[in-house]
Amino acid sequence: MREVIREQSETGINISNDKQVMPSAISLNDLRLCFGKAEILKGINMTFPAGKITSIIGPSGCGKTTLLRCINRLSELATTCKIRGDILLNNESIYQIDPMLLRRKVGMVFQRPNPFPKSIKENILYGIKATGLKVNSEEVVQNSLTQAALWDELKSRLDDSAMSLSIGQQQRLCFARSLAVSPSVVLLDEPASALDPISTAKLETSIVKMRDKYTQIVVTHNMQEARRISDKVAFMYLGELVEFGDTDKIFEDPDKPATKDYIIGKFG
Amino acid sequence: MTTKLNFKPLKLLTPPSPRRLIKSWPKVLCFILAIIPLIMLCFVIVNLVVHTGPVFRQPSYDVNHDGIINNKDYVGLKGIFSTKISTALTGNKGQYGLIPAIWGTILLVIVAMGIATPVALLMAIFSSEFTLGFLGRGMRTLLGVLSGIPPIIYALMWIVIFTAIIAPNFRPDGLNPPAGMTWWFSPPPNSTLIGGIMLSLLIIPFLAPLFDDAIKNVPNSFKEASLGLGATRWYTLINVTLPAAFSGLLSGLRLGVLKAMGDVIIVTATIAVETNIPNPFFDILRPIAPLTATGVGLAGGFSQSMIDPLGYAVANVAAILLVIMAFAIIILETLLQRKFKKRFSHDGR
Amino acid sequence: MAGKKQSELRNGLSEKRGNGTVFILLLPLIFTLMGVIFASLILIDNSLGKYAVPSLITASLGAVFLLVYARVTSHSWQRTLIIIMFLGIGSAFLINLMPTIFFGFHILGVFHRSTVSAILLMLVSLPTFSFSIFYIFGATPKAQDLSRYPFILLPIIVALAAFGLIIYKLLVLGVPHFSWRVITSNFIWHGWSTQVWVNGWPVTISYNVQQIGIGQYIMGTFLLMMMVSLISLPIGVGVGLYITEYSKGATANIIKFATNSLRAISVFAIGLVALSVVRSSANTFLAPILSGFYYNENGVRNAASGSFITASIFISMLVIPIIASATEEGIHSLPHDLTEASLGIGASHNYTIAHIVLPWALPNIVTGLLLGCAETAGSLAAIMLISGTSQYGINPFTQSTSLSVFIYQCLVTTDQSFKKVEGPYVYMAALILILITLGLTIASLILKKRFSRSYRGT
Repeated sequence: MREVIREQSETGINISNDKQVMPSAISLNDLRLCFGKAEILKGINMTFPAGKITSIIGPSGCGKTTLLRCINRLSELATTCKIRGDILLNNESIYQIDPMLLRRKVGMVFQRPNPFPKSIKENILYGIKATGLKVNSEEVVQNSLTQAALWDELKSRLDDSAMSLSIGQQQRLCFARSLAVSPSVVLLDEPASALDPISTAKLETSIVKMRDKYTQIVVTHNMQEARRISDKVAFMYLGELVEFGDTDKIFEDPDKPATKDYIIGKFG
Repeated sequence: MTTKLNFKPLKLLTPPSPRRLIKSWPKVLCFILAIIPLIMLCFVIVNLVVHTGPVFRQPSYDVNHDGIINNKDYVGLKGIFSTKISTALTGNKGQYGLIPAIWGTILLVIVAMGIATPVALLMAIFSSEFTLGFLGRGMRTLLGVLSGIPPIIYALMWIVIFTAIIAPNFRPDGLNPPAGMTWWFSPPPNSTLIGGIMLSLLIIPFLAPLFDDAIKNVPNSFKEASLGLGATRWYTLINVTLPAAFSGLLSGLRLGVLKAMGDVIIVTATIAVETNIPNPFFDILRPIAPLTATGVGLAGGFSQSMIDPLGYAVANVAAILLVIMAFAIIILETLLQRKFKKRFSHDGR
Repeated sequence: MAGKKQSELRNGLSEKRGNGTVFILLLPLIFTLMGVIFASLILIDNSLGKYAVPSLITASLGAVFLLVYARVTSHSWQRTLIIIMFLGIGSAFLINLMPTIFFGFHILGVFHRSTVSAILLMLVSLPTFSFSIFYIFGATPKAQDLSRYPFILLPIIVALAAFGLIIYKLLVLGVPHFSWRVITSNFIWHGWSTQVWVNGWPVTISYNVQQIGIGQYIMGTFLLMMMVSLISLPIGVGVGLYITEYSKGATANIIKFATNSLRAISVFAIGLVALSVVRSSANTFLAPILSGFYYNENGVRNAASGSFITASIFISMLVIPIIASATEEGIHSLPHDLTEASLGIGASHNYTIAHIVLPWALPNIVTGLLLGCAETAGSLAAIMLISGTSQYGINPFTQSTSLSVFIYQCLVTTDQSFKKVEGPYVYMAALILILITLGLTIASLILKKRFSRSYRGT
């Protein structure tokens, strides 16, 4: 608690420590990104509304995952990455904050489930212990697992190793783990691509249930999934944002012809 | 509110503070710990170089074969690279040529690696490709167990191997001349051959797991492609797997050669400090002491009371020669790796 | 055998041979197998040399048999078998003409006739053995693979026999002298010694040997292992961590190269530097630490020739690279997504290293540590110039010693009474040393498996 307040006064950013955090909006202002000489993102301008589920769709290699990893500053781990432009989290630039603090507010679920080789309970509590917050661990574990619809399945096996779960359960565990630190934004990078249909359905139900609590940005290859779960859809092609609007509008009556071609399946 | 569009480098703007520096203590600690081996290495090399001083400064003398003493100013490089040498235990003093020692090292390494490399390669092939069920895995554990035997044991038991393998083949039956022969001569028991054999026994359990890993690292797709075309396993092994494993095999070979070159105990005990070049210079049935054994002899042998300061300095020269040879082997191996990388590489890089 | 004609290689889909023909092929198999075994035994025992010529004849007969078989079944001549047949008969003649011992091949050695006959016998029997296996299994490509086994197995068996012989002799020489009393008591020698010259060789004669024992050597080995682990574990893990996690680039490469070079340069160099350090600190204030001291039986303080502290510093030069490369390997095996998951949650780099990276690398670190301890126990070259018998107690400031030093002393000492008294126990000491290193090696394998399960979930 004290540590967070001290960070806060150093950076001047208002980071609330309240467990009931409000979801935040994310704005991208002319974001450009190069890896070495290849320009991956060519000037993206958009706003992800607070509390809603936004999907980013597009063919392979158009920069969706790179865009997502910019938001929590994981793309900068590669040494040849150069970024221009700005990303605002609730009107504050994320480049002015310590990346660590940023990542406590912006959580991420990866494409392949990657639970730590520890017990289920330790996986959930990892983020909290890493950031030094004092919370009631039982309550946190129960809340997170309930939000990910795992509490009934796992409440009797909290001390088992996380590697003994099935792939679908592992991915939902990763989701619960990222929710345990109470972020305001959750980024999901093709979360269901490694899962079978039943686990996918369970995961999607959890995502939809968290609609007003967190801002969720889902990158997906699967257009049907985007249609099922999201409020807003962004279509990206070759590093540019082609169209951004409500789900129904994009899928039934898109403005741009490129969007229409992609939806029909003329290219993919 | 938008910020200025400027070019942002990788490690972005977090305000520096004393708190940050204190937080990075693990990195500083690891840096300090990591520097220590570097300091040790520099200390060893500097120490060796410094102690070779007397070679270039101390007045010495020279005895030629008539027993006449010549006074010389110092031994110098010319003296080092001559071919006569004497230690505290042999007769005439004053000769400090190291050429026999260098040649001894080369000969010994050739003999030892010549025996060890094929055997280790076959063991690796046996445990990775041509396994007989559990025997292949058992070979790996057996090699692990054998690699734990310290070299002093081989030095202790060399007589056993000598009487078992060498003596029947290179000596007449028993130690007496055979009937009817009035003259005979046979190899002494401390020949380079026996030193090479004991050294190869030390190296085989060390080399075989390295070769085994190199062969196992070849991707399965190569072997499957070859077998799918109808080739036999042996053909696949020779023409596909071994070339693809070339870089791993070469680096294992380098480690083996370095170990053979640097080993002191086995050669000191088996070849002792015999120091003349045998008559055909490649005669492995006569002894010729490598650099390590010569160095031990010069540094006083087995007791500190017999240390001759000039001999001690020459021992340092021997050690430096060993260091130079070791680096030469490493550089040679790096060059070879680069040359054959395109031809044999399976990474596509 | 590589140049087989197409007609001889059948796949298994064509007709199988009847059992009768296969049994006949057992004859050349047995002849040539006996030939191979004889060839190996003749190298060891010259008196079996008289069986060489009959074995050559039977092996050549086997080659003839196979030749006929190949001709009959597949209408082709096997060139290799023809060569072998002539070689076998010719060498049988040659051996009968050779003297028992001869000088030859420009190497001034004395070759026994049985050596040559063994080599020729092996040259004839081994390929014929492979051929017979090939034909027994039906001349298919799979049979060709099977027929390579003799070439692979023979050198392996010979090498393993050599190791077995060493261990057998150690057991035979060491076990009869086994006694708890000797193991647990220290070797103490009081008296005086003088050096006389006998036949041009210096011989040390000493008097008043009082107690036989190797206890202090065993204690010295353990003390050395402990001190070397204490020094090299933090440094090795620090090097490994620094190279992989904290810096990538020129500094990391330099440190990696330096660490590996410590092992590449000969151990002899390290031993020389140890000697020079001890000698040059002889009259300075560092002398008690570096060269050790002891109080002899009159209470007089003397300087020893090298303390445990010096010895462990120099041995750790050899052990640090082992631990560092084990750590590096462990960290490299960590899957990348685990670090990303940890960073994605908001943990700092240091926290990730402490809680994810290091536990994952722990099995490798423990293995490296135990292997380093095994190396310490067997390490001799680095300390042989600065160690001794250390009969006045074992603590970090006394003279360094270990079991390897004891064996070395027994091998090279010119002190006759030492040899007479402690000599018989050297094989027992060697067995104890092997047991220690073996135990450490096996423990490292077992612990690696167990730690893998608990720290990596696999």
